[in-house]
Amino acid sequence: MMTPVALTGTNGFIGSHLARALAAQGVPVRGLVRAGSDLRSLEGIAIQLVRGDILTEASLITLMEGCEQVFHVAGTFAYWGHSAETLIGTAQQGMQTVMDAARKAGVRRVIVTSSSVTVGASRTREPLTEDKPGLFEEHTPYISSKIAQENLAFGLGEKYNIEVVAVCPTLTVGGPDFGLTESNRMIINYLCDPMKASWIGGCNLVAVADIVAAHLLVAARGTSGQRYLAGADNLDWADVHRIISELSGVEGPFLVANHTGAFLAATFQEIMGRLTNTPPTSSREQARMVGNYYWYDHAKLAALGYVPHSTRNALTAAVSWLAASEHLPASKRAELTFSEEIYAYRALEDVQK
Amino acid sequence: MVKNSVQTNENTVVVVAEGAADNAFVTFEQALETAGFWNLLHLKCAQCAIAKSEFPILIKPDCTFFDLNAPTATDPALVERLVLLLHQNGYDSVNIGIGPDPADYWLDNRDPVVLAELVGYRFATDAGTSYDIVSLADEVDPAFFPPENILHADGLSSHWTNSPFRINFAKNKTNEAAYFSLGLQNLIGALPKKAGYFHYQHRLRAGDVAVEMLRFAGPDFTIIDAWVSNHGAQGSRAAHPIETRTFIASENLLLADWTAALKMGQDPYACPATAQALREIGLPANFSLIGSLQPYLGWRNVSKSVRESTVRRNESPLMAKLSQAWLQQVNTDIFPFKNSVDEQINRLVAPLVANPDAHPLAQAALIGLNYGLANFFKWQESWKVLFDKDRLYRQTLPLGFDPAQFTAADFEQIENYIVPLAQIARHTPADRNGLKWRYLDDSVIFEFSQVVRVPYASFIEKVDVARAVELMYDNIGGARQTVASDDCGRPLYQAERDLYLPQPNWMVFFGGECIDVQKIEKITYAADRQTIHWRTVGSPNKSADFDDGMVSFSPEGNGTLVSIVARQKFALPLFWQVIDISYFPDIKNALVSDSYIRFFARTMANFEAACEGRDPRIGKVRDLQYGENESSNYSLEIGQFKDLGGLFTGFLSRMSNLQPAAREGILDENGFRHFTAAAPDPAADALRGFARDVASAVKKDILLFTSAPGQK
Repeated sequence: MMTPVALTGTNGFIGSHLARALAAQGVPVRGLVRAGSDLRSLEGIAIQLVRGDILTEASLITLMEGCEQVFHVAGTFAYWGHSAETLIGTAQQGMQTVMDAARKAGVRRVIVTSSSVTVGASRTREPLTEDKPGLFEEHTPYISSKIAQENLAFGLGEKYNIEVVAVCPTLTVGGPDFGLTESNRMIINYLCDPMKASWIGGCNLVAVADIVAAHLLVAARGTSGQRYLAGADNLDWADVHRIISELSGVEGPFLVANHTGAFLAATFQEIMGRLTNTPPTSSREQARMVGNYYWYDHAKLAALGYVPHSTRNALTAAVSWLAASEHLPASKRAELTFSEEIYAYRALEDVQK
Repeated sequence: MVKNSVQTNENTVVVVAEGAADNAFVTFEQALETAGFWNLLHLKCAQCAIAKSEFPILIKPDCTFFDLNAPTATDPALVERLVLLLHQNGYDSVNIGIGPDPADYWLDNRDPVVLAELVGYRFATDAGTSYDIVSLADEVDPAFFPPENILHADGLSSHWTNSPFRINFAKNKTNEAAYFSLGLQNLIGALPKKAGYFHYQHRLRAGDVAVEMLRFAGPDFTIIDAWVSNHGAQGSRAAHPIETRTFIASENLLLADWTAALKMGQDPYACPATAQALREIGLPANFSLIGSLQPYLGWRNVSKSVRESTVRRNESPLMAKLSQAWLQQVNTDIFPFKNSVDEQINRLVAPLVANPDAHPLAQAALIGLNYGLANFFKWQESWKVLFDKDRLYRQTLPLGFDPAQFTAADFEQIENYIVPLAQIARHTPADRNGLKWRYLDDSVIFEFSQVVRVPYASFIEKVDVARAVELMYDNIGGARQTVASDDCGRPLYQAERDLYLPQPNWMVFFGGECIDVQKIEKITYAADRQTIHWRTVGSPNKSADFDDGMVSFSPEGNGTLVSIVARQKFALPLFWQVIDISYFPDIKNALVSDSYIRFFARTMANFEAACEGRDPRIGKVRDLQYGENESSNYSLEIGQFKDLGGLFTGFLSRMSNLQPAAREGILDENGFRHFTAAAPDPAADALRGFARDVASAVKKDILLFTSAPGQK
């Protein structure tokens, strides 16, 4: 019988997809979920759930007992509504507790879901690599939390003699994503934006299925103490938004915001968000990142066999799911006229079901 | 206990009793006697077979008190007099029911019992006999109204529903939003929700509420206290007493209100809720008026301009509740404000607009203020209609007509009417947008077809053809009722009312109203085709002359062919009636084609969305618990508004005090000067941070602009 693997952040976006993939391979999965969590993302997955949270060692030891590998996926990906202290503190405390529990449970390897932003950003179009990081001028609390988490994980790995590898996903899109992560929210915000605005700079966007594959690869073949960037195509933001428009049958983008425009718009959005008690469509924290190129080279992971889908394919899957989800308001759904790619993707999905 | 007004004889009496200054009680008693109050009460008691002493009677007075002896509320002395008279006649079980008070959100001492005691209710009559005061917000019977009723979710206090004899003791007064406030408004005040203006004017329409209350829970007798009335353009916002020395009494509420309005010199149909009730329920077939309809001497009604501006302002629930707190004249000795911001604004603004009749400038200021607030809201709503429809609220409406008035033949005829029209559209060549359309008698007939890429079997499983009209784009509310079904329980005939956003949407900027259409429908089910046919039978706001059509689903390859044929003619806002673009046919045709193609493409997307398993209808459902507890969004909205106000005033005060005060410090005996550290100022820090970030963004943009092209 196969050894079970443990998973934190099980009902989250990447966590639930990872759990599904592991279960599909016949691996016994033990997943940590908080009491009262939304478990829709885990429907139909053969998984053993352990109630607890990453700040409680006892629940983590129960989770990891008898496991060789732990996927520590839990984390907060947010640019709004969390203070820097909370984000960084929780990430560090969580990592510490996970590593302490892993040591006590005799875990051999911990795979940490980090982020490509720990490699920094660039003002130019040159992709960054694990060994050639970029600038860290625009430190948002989220970026700081991921860097702190990663450093702590490697440090404790050495100290406790546990293998630690980190997967650094770029912006991950797809569905199901019941909690709506920031990367999928970007698609929703664009579809809801009457101005259909884009902004300067670029990003790397990848399908959640590829990030799951990256985790499995790194777990099996990754070198301890190493981090692996996992992404797909490097694109200008305007190109990302153009692809979304083409897939959804809406016109745009109509304008490309510069630093000042993006910052003022985000300030306005935050004020409106405060008045209407809803999350802003963009925050000043995100606006400070505008103009940067979050472009990455995943050659190191490719050497392990990683072959991602194109960003266009990733967006096709994401738009297809998001359009049918509660995240896209009804009136905005009615404005969409899908491209052939969406229909073809859905037909393929139906066949696979 | 569901009941209609008790009809004791064929001839209903309404009495207008007028008296001299010092004999209010005598005139009051004469009014009751002449209106047949005692006969009616004895008869009802006998019908119920309950002993007089145990026969429960509930009196609902108007308790709109913001000061002692306010002419805006029923005089407590008269209410106690009525209790005494009832006791003297052997009716010992008398309660006074006080409705929930929206002013409780912003004033203290508004609990019904506390309020009653403060304004003069003594819980005992002059003869020493006691009565109880009950809150009509308590002991709500949630199942009182049947499920199809618009008030089903609200319920009604069992204090009201379990009283076999209910007396509606209203006040005679003007109302700036409805011209007058009489028995019908007092009756709506018996409903249990505290945020009444929200639930019974915004979530539901006041006219619909009034009609349902009268039909299901109307009073047995109505008295209007017009001994000292409140008149003038300000309505209940401020006390403007006038001695009218009159009581109006009748077993029929609408007849009493109708008479009271005429005594004001007002058209009884001027108040929309009363007008709707008069049209849908009507006055008794036979009635006698005893007394004079001579209008009150010196009476001043609300002007049309004040009323219309108030109605526009109150279209925003937020503005409605804020303006109530800020414009109401209040005796703060007995009703202190809960919030100092409200108090300060009220102290500043309320006196300025307390008496719009006194000075043209005061009236102009009030109208200007109302329209200012109204336009702010209107632009916000217009923005939502165009770009943010999902933040609009769905409307809960009754069907508004009785489908039983239509025979089976009427339903069968719908298909015969629409199918020939479909032929016209079908044989018309498509325009550049792919739409087939023609004018016919000033209406537009068109056909739009599209294959939805969902297999037919799956499509009809997920999209109920009987809901096809409801699923059309821009539907923002309505009601649907099955009239006849087949053996499988599928509707064959149905009646429907639909509310659509103005078409095209940009008409909202020209005063375009929602399209409100009542239809009868016939549905057919064949093995390879399902069709719904409909025909318009009414439009309550006269927004549509024609909205007839058919939608059919049939298999087409691997998908489903959805075909829509319709005949439409909607009323244009005044602006577009004046600017008649039919003189420019090319422009008009382009606009028509563009609007319809957009509308139907999005309707097709709605069908597709329904197949995806989601509800494609736009709009939010209004919160049924709004304002009912501390955690509701009522306090949240107010809090946010006040936060913003606080930020703004804080910003202004900092701007006016930018020069830092000289820090003199205190010199001690050793010659050292002691300073106090500056207190932290988060708002100033935030402003500084904002300025720093903007400067940084501008700097980056300048660098980007001035850098070599290859480096950009």
